[in-house]
Amino acid sequence: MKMGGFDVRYTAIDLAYLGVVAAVSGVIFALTWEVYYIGELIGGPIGARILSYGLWFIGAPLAATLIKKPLSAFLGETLGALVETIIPTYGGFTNLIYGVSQGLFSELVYLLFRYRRFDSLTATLAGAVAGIPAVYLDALLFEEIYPLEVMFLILIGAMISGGIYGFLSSLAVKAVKH
Amino acid sequence: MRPSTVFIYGLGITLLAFLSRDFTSLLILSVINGSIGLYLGLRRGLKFFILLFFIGLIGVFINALLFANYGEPIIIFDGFVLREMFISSFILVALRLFSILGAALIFTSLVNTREFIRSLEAELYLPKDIAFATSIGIRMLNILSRDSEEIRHIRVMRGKSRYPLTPSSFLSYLRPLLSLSIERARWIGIAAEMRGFGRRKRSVRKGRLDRLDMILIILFLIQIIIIVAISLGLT
Repeated sequence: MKMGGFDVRYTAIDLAYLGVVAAVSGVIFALTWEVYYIGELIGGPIGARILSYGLWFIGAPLAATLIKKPLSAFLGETLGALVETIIPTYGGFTNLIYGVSQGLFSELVYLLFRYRRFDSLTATLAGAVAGIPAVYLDALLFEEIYPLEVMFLILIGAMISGGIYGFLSSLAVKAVKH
Repeated sequence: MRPSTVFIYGLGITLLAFLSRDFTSLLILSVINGSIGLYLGLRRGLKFFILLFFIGLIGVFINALLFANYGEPIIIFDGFVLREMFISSFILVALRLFSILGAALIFTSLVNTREFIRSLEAELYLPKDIAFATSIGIRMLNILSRDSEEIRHIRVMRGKSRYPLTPSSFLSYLRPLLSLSIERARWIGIAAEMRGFGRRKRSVRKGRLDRLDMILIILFLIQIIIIVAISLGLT
């Protein structure tokens, strides 16, 4: 299948990898609620984001680094969020809404590099930019509570966390594939 | 009842909760969906899930107290003052979250996972490739949850934290989980190819909506109409 000049052909093995990333991501996403609550006790809403948000963004860099094809980042994050929705967890269907948004932003990073790079740099950036829609959706959910300057700090925290865990995801995939 | 109907209902209510900004709309959403969801959830034994919600509300309360406690004083006791923005912020966010909880409980209580996997392609018209990947993910959940629990148990035995709280502990948790999973995925993919996965036609389930589907659709439409009417100032 051609999509905007990019060849998007997934074999059954690619799809099985995608399914496994979805399951791994879903399990990690579900566990991250505990990390989030611990983070909130230690460091409030900003500390919670720094400690945990990157974990909720790893579906995209994991899938993209493993499969190295267009749409893998978007699908990795979205399907992981779908699995988390089914588990179920505290977020319910919001997990899916967050997952689709985060996946789209992460996918943009790989598109910007014309799907020629699936390395630690793109994984780090993909993790970091996923923080933007996540914090925007937080603003929709909680806007009545957090003032603008707090939201800005939350955004920085989420992007730093996303970048770190995006980088680590790429390292984990490379270690396993070797 | 079709799993796809409940899925679309749950997703739709969650989106409405996200987008609604006024008290009346959120009250309607939370009363209808929260009460149905609580009733179904308690019947299905999802008490822990419901308890998590109320624990989460404590966090919302504290955040509202720290960041939104301004305006006219409303409640004063022992020198402690709760102001009007705190009350309105907390109530709005709590109603929103309660609507979302209700939608999640309705879905979890009414939908069987196996039927939902089938409905991804047959009813929701997901491409068969995506439906295949999703079904693998959902089917592998139990195996991965067990692997995850074993890894966390071994971490505790080695004197490390149960949950990966730092980047290095995350890496030591993720690597074995991925290693086991990728090997399984490779063989699942090979088996699927050998069975002619690429030539499989999409399966579509045609059929009428039953009474419960219609009730859910009508309930959803009623809520949309009321919320749109409120936002347009018609009520």
